[in-house]
Amino acid sequence: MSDSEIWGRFKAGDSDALNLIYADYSKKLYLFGLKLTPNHTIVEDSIQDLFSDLVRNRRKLGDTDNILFYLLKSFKRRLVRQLQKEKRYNFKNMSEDFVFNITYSIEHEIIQKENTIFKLQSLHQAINQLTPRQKEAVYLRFTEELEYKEMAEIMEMSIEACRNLICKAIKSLKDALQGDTSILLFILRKLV
Amino acid sequence: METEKFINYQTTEDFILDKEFSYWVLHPDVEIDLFWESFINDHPEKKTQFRDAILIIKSLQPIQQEVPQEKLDVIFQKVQLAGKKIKFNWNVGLKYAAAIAILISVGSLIYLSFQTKNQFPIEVASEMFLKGKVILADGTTREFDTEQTTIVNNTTGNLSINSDTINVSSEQTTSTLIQVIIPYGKRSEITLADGTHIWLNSGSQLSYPSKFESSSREVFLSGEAFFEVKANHDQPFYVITREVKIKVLGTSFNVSSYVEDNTVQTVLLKGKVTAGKNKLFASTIELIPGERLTYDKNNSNLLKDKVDVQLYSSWVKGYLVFRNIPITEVFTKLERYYNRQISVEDGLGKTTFSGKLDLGENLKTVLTNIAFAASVNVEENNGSFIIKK
Repeated sequence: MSDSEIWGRFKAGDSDALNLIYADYSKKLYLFGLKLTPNHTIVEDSIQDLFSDLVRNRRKLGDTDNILFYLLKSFKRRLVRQLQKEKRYNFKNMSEDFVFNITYSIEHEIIQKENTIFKLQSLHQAINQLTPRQKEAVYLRFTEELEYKEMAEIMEMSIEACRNLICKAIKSLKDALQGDTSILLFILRKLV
Repeated sequence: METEKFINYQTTEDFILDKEFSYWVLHPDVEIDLFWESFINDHPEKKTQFRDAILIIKSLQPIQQEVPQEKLDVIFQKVQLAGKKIKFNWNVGLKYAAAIAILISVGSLIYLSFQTKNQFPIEVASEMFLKGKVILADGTTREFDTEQTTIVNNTTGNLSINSDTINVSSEQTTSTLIQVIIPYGKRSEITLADGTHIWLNSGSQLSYPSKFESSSREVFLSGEAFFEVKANHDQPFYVITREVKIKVLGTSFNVSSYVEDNTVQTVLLKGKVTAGKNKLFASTIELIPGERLTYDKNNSNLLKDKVDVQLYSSWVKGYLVFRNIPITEVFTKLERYYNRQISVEDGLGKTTFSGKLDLGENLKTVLTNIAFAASVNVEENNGSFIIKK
């Protein structure tokens, strides 16, 4: 069943469709929420609010052909609002103030090949040095696999700016991977 | 996939930013593997960029935290209630206030009992325990080191492990669970107080209340077990796994629900069971003897098919039967049973095996037999085994 079909059924009051949507996406929202705040309770409350509202207003909802995107967008807005309330003051440009916090893994299989270890360390470092906005963009693009158009809406910026954010992030990672090894050795020496 | 587009790609970024490319890296597919293999063969000058692109996309996958599924289940309950809000009419309100109060309190009772029932006993990684264990309701632990352990719960509430009787304190309630943990390489045969017989396979855990409720008998399983349930229509027997709940009406069947496996399988030999997804009260499916119900953890689908039941119950009698099973699956079962590591060389994923294995023999003999039948080679290395072409 396609996303728009499931969504249509949900709007029509089909409880199986709600089950399906909740089972498929609640975990993803939870994980995304934890990237914006370490506070589990706020994340849980926002998930409950989001779904309760969806259920209450199901008839009035718009259509979507990408449920994940639809939910992420609304979820992020709620969560950020909640986080603002918690801090009791307003941010002018709030998005920058919420740290997009991710821990990355490096594939085991690749690590085992000896001569790539140096490269990997610098890649890993470069990933961790991405800005929170870059991390968020990269997460939406390469983990949630959204389109630029959808990312742009969630991040509240233009499609072009989104594309630039990703391009810049990718370039810095590539530079780290293909970069000058003498700098790398320098970094490594400092670490030892 | 069109080669033309990719021929023009010069840089690592070109590959990374291509949606088709990143989709393939994140969702590998044999057919598309072949496409890229031949592409790189034809254009070796792009090999570095190609490999770096894969590496970067893979490295961008975050380590995800554990999501507390119980919390999400509770939230879902509340969400469902949100859809059924009672509208209060003030004109006739007072008259019905008492009725509504009762309704609400009944509602929350049902809700509370759901919450406790749905709590899945905490899973401890079985491989961490070299010895088998019984954790009693009061928290005391008994360890045992036998290959095959017999545990009997008698009607007085006492319990014996390999004929050592343990007197359990009389303050037992239905809410406290007895937990049996069987490590890899070991097995156990458990008799419950109601006469139900359970064979617990290697690397498995079974939890059951020290005293069953009057209305139902619920046990929790992680791993694999074979059940011979004592029929009692007034007190249905439930096997609850993390994903699937099975309702039993006096019968024998096998359940396999290892955490590391992608599926949960229920195979019925005798009698009747109904099973369904644990979490969302989805409709249940009835099984008749000879049928198997498979729950796929990846897409949460339930699938029913006919199988040869012998293949799923023979381990209880000390042998394993396989019919055209990928050898990797055969080895996973043997790893659990013998608690030894068996690694398989790449390229053997499609090799299948049919035959009967005697689990009374040592692992080396068993593997040699498989190697002969499936035309592969076995090498022993510091107690673990490597299977080669």
